[in-house]
Amino acid sequence: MNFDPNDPRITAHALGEPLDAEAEAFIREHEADPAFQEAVEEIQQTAALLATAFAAEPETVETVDEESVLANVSQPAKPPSRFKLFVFSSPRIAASLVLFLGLAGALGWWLVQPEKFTATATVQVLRPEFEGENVLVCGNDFQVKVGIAESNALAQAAAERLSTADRDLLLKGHPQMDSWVESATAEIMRITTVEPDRKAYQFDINVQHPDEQLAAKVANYLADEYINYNVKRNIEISMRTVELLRTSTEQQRQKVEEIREEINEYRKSFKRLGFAPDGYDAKKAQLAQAEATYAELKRKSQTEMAQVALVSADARIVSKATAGEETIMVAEYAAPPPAPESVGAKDRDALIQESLKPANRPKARIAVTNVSQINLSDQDVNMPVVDSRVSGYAGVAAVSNEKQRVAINGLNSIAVDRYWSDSPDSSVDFSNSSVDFFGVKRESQRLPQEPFNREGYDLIKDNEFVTPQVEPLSTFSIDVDTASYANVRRMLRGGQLPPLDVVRIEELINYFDYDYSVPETGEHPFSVNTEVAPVPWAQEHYLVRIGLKGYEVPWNERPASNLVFLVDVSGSMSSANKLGLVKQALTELSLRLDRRDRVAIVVYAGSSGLALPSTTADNQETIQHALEQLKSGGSTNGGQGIELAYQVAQKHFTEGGNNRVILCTDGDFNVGVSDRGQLTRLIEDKAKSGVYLSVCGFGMGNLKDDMMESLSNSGNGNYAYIDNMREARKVFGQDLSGTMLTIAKDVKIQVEFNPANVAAYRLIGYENRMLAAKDFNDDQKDAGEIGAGHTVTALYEIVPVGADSAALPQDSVDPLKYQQTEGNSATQSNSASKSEFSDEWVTVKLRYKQPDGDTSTLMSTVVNGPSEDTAPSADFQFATAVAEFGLLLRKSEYAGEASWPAVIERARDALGANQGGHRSEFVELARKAQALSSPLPESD
Amino acid sequence: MGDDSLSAASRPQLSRAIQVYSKPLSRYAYSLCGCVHRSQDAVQDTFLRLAERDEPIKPEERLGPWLFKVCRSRVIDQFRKEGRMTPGAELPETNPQLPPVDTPRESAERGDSAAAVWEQMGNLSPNQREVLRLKFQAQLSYREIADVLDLSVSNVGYLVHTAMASLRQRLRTESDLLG
Repeated sequence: MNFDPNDPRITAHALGEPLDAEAEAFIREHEADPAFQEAVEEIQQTAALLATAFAAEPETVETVDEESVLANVSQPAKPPSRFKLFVFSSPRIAASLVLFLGLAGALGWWLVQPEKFTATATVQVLRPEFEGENVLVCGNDFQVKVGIAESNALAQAAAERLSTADRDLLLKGHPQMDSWVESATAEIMRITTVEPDRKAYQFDINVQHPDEQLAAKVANYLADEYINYNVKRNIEISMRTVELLRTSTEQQRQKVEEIREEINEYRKSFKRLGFAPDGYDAKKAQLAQAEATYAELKRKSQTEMAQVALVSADARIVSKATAGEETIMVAEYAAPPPAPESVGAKDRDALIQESLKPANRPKARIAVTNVSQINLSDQDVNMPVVDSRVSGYAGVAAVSNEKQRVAINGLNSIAVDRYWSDSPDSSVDFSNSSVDFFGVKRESQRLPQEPFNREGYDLIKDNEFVTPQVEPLSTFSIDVDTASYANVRRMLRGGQLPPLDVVRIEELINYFDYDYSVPETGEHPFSVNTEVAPVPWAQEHYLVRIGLKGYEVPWNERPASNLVFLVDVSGSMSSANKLGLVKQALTELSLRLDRRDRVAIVVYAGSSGLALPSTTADNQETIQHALEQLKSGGSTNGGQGIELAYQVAQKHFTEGGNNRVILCTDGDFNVGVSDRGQLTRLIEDKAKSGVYLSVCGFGMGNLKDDMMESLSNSGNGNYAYIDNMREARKVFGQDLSGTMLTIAKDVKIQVEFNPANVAAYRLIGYENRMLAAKDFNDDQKDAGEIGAGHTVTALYEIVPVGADSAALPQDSVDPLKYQQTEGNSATQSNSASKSEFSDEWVTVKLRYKQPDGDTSTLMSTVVNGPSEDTAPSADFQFATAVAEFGLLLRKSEYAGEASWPAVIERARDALGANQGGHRSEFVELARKAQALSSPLPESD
Repeated sequence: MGDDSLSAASRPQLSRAIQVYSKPLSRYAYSLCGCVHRSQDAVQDTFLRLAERDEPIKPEERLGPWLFKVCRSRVIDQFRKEGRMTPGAELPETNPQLPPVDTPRESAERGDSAAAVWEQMGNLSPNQREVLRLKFQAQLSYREIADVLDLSVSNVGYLVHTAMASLRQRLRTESDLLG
């Protein structure tokens, strides 16, 4: 044997591999050698064994079956739709094609599977470069746009437009879940794929369904709703920008006036003195500058206003889905657009509303652009070439279709909605374009309920006045949440008065920090501060303020944290003020953590998953990367995500540390455990494990405030609403210790009123936190948590004995016979309570547990009546202003003489240190609310 | 979006590819990731890629190597992704491994020899097993295997050779399959 048996060339030869010349020569050289032949044979034997072995490999793997692959293939595969539809729409060609295919020998699945059609509607997102420089559009990120197209909200909107017959057809063979809208939405999500074409800035909405008409209809509805959604969103965004500009313009105007005033003063003294006082020239220069800034701002805001009227969807439908050879017309499109209406008759909200009503949409859009001439004819295929930017806007209204084309001319006419002309000196004159400007005085009232708004709020009923004779005890759980304030702010800024149930007065009051004394001794984790002062909005009434302040934990002395970010990445989270903000906020938070802390990220949408396994927080890069990677899409199954998040939190449970799940969502749970009761129970159950829950609400439109509030309440947690980066910084920056470190849990307050002094009382706010008197001593009863440095304030409105108030529940109950009361104490003149506690108004009792404790501690304090000489503190004044603000917003029957000017004045006087500018922001909001709530003049 | 712009792999081609390759691809994917669901995903993905493939399939082209290559990269991608993302509540559970050595008893002799081969195969290194699988199950040539694995042809030849030699050695000492 003169060859090496370990030469791989032998194996190659034995296996019949093609060989190169050198190997060929090697083989030929040894071919005759019997040892070589034996080696080759052995290899072939082994090969045969291997082949057998592989062939006999057990079927542990289910092979992918053809149908399932094909079903999937036909969805994203480029555009099979046209082809198929084409085939089936003209039977003759179909027959020949089938014949052809038959000859090709691949008839099989064509015939077996003819029942699925794919209809495609194509939407083009207008590129940024189509838009002028000042265009108020945001989120040009194509991905985001595609995300919108895939979102659940869109599917639902489309589902809602389906006729009964279509709906039945759609849901055939699918058991209905809760409501047909939900089922239809889920079904649409299932049969729809969105295929982006990044280069063309387009995406196809593919809908697959056995019924071609229906498939096409759904695809068109989706495309249509996408446009709708964008129009509305862009209007909202533009509105907000304009709003900001208007605010700063207004501030600048005030400044100018102030300086003018001062100059007048100077002038007066100048006259008196006979010579120019110091600084007169400087003042004049200042005035000139301020005026210039004002003019500039004014100009800007006017330009922006004009732009609003031009807002478009910055997207257009390129091609609609077809079935057969007929284009399925979304019914509304088929109708010729009616003559343009005068915009003047409508205010902004009506305009938005109008543009959102599918049936009226083309009309409304035309109303927006106030097109002067519309041609609609079969022949008129040539769109007049308008400059690129205008066509960007106009493209929306142009329904492109082989047979019909809406041509739009005269786009330079701009209609400006009267909403914008409200500032006294903004009589803008766009003389070179035919602008209709309507000199109307103020913003309209609240936005009407639009189809896209599916926010959910619990009903709140104001606490009533009760007499201590009937109910001597008032018991409630504390609430440190602040979500309601942020939510109210968002709505007011959006030019809308919040619905009554959005306003939870205690959350408004607790949004602000008050200067309560820090607990001095280590005995209790918080201090109790009380104060009594007259009620500003009701004569002879008094307010008793109960303020708690938790001890502060310096951030670097905090216990280790084990955090799980539970992030909703469903389609509904796709907009920039949701997921984008979530990322920013969590980044903000994680930057404050260090190696003692752990962070994990769990995401949930249709399915949930671990986006970042629990990691120590010194791995900032990893954490930031994971946060950046979060993408939205799909529907929301909150339950599963919550399970997983708690599971992860428990796995890395830190004894004595801060174990917390931070849920970031818009609360729109729409798959799986979405039943509120069920979710609440799930959370309650999980809370027993010692893991706390912080709920952060994001976004708008489908914010489920009620859901989140109740989740955080049952999960030993807090709830914050985050509408912008500033709020995120407050929650995760400034107030971070409060948000994250619970210093006492199940904090309950029970107040006993002395009937000798108190004729009636009413707790302001805390409506959904009321407890039964017996719950106070029941340690099983869950109540609110207080975080490090948190302040909690409760206000009682009290009618003292002897006051003549309409609020007294006079005829509700008869005087009690056996109790010692004002009415019958005359007969028991030696009543101890009368003399002994004659100064006392109320006794405040508190119960709390240590964060890891199970038994509660009691503390109590007595509040005497008001003393004549002390004026209410500035803090108290501010709190009363906030309460009054809340009462007005809630249109409360207990608002008494409450008035906006009073709120504004009192708040302005009590700005104090105005830390973080929150208090001055409040004043601004109050002004806005005042403007919004004054009745509109009759527009006749 | 012309009317005739069907993707590179036409329906019949696709259908046939699935018929021929879904089994070996599934097994291959499973051998790589050791998870039924993932391997199915990978295979399904592979066929989707085929459907969306831009370059046309030439008549003389053998699809196999292309499919295996895509499938392999799908599996690897999945693993990469899972570095961050674990589907569902379950945490990572896989280690690519051999399928259970549990063969049907009915075809006794064949079964026995196969079982013995499988048993010995367990002692090979993963990349040796992989080339054997590609060679004898997918019946790819050295050249094609080299393409799939991004190796040189001689490298593949060496791997196959050593794998077979060591398998032969073991079979000879541990069983009577080889003389």
